[in-house]
Amino acid sequence: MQIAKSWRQQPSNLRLEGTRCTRCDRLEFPAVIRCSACGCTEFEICQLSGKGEVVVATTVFEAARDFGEHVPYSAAIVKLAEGIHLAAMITDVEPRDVYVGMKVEMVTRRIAAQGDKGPILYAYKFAPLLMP
Amino acid sequence: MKPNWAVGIVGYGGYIPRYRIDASEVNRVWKDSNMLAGRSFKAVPGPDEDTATIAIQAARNAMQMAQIPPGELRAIWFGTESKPYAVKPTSTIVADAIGALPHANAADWEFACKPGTEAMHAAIAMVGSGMAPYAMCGGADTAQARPGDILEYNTGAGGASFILGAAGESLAILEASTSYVTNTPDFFRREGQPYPSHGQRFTGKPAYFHHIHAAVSELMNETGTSADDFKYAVFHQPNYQFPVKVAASLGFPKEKVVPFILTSQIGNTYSGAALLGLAKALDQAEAGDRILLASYGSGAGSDAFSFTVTDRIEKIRRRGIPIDVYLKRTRLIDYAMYARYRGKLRLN
Amino acid sequence: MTTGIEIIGVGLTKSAEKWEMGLLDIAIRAAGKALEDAQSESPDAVVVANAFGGALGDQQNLALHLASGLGCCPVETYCVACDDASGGAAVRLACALISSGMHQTVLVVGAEKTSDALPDMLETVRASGLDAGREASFGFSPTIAGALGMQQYLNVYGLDKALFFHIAKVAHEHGATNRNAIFRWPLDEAQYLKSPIVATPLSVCDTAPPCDGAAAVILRKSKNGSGHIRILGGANVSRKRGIVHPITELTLPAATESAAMALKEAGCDVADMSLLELHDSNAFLAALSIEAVGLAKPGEALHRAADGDFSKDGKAPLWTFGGHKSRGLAPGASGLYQVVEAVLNLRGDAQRNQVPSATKALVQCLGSFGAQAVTHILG
Repeated sequence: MQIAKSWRQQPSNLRLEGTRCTRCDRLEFPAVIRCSACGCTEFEICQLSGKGEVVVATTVFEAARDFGEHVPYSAAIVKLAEGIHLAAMITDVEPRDVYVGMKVEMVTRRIAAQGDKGPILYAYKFAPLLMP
Repeated sequence: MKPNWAVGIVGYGGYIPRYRIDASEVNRVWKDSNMLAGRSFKAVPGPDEDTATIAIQAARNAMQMAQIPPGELRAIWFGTESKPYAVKPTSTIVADAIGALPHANAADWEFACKPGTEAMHAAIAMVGSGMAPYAMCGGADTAQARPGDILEYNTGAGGASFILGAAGESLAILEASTSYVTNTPDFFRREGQPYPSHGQRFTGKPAYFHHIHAAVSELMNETGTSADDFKYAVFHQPNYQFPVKVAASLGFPKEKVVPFILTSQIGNTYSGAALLGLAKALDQAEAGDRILLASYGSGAGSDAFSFTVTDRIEKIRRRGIPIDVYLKRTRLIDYAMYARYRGKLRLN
Repeated sequence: MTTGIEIIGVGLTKSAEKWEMGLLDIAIRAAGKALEDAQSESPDAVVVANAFGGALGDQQNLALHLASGLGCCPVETYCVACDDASGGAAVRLACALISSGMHQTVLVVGAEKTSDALPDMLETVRASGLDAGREASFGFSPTIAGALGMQQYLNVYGLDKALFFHIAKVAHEHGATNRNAIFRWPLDEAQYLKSPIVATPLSVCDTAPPCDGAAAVILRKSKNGSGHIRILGGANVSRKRGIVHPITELTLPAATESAAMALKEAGCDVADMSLLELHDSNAFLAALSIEAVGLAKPGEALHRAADGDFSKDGKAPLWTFGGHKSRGLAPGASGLYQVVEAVLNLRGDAQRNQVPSATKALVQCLGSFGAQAVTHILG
């Protein structure tokens, strides 16, 4: 993860900011610069609620570089209240206890840190709803 | 000390990681003695947590309670002695996460275990002078301890965040505050060192007890109060004994103090310790209650505050997350997992 | 239009960990074999499919370096990098070069060198074919996506994981007789079930082993009565990216559309195919591909595999040389391996992997977790 790349993604990584097209009302996450539905280039910034539920989950034992320290971890498709699907890790729960339909909410965590010297990527994961 | 305009707390939030290790498990690995009586736990950050993520969650919880526009925060000030970046503010990460950038002050404060109350003083001054409608301060730590050191038995992780605003919309109004600092090297960590050093028994009488006693005595003098006038008293809590002992020396009975000593449940959360205690006290306070907060930071100093709870507390507090929710959310781990989660096993 | 193009030469290297050879060496070897097979003069264009050579810090612009190494310069060269769909896309591009009249004879080479990279690095680079910002940088890879897809497939259709054995079984059955395959043994259910889990429920046996390999074909405008195998139809379809759709909807629209378009161009039906080579980089994509091209109804791919439909003597022989699962997955070359293997079968040169009286074949490769699909019909 190059520094500038994660910096560009901070609004979506830290605040779940997406865009709503001013012409066709399409909601996209992360933010886009051109609507994939109507081609419009004007948007309203739209912060997603961060509440959702697990659609399907897996427990990962063999990870890509930079993620090995978190193994075994739960990776899932989460459907947000706004209807958007996100690929995200599930935290604060044992991977085997994650289930389909589990209510979750966004938390900000260290996603990857490139050893001791690199920039730390802070971004969203999802955790079981703290106060149902 | 008092600001020109009355200031109070308009929202607060805490956060404690879910993992716990039993002090007897630390003992098993390093001493294997039966010296420990009773169980005592400390909170351990998960492998994806650090001071920034703890501070972010505490800040979010405070914002959820306060329900103020993030753009009206003029300061986001967090104190810690376990910064994820040695150079690069943690507070800007927190501020970004809650949407408070860019028209704000943001900086990390350092004063061993009391930078959060230093920041609270500054936040009070900022709001009380009319410079800002709201200011956020807080403290969070993933407290370091050398493996096997006495500190390792209870160095925990957690943090709390407070939003200061006008007294008229506060759940608790500041009555007065004091700060008492000296140049006392009872506990320190040198640049680049992973673990702190401490003066063992030197951290007691000339350090913790002297400074808190002095700061609180001064506050009582300034406000003309005594221990009887306070419903609750919250002290920095490196362990159970210190706050109980300093409270007794100031005339506080145990029952006003003990419910807010969280060390047996989460350990010493350093910069988060006194502030989490205050949050716990506010969780159960009622209108009219006067609450004492006295922090302690090695190096050394103590900040003391007197807050009076308003009748808005019920309505505002309902929007937040009680500290009890985090105290009850636990998952016990053994020393091996603790060593892994705290990065004590070198992978690279 | 891809019709009117014939394949006059094919070549491939063994799929393996080729410690003694570099990316360029492998490409040269496969290309050399194809040139010898075709006994043709030097090609007037070279198209190279290579997905990760640049990202892995190996050779960039491999087409130029290959042409130089083959001694066929001056020549027009192109590189195609479309993730695992690179091979199919390169063939498609070569067809366009010929159909347009720009070139007469085009050498298409797919090559990949994965074994020089450590496994976690390779996984990272393979993940970059997904949405780099939202998927790869959050720890998602094609393998993890495959695991999520498998779990959803089992959840939605109420199936037992053991049923996925039949996907790997078909591949291994056919790979066992392929001397160029990396895994040359039949797989039994007990072995399958004790295979180490990569990400639940997906095990090592549900993924194709990354390996080094290259495959090449030489294409030219068809000549009447030449007797060469022809490309009867082709289609390259890209759809909305992301791993979410295949996982949540359990469909691969790009694969369905690309197969339908290619079949339509060829004027035939999937039932007319003597054999098929589909993209089995993992068992989930393999199952969805089977359903996408119409070999099974939704949720029934595993049952059809269990029924023996995809064996060499079955209704629709699949992965006749072992597929990516048994032969090995050299990502950028995978689409070319499929074409070469299909040609060998259609020529009757497949030896122990021969499908009796094979006349038509469908080959399809997928990129970016099925968001892109390239299909060709050969015959």
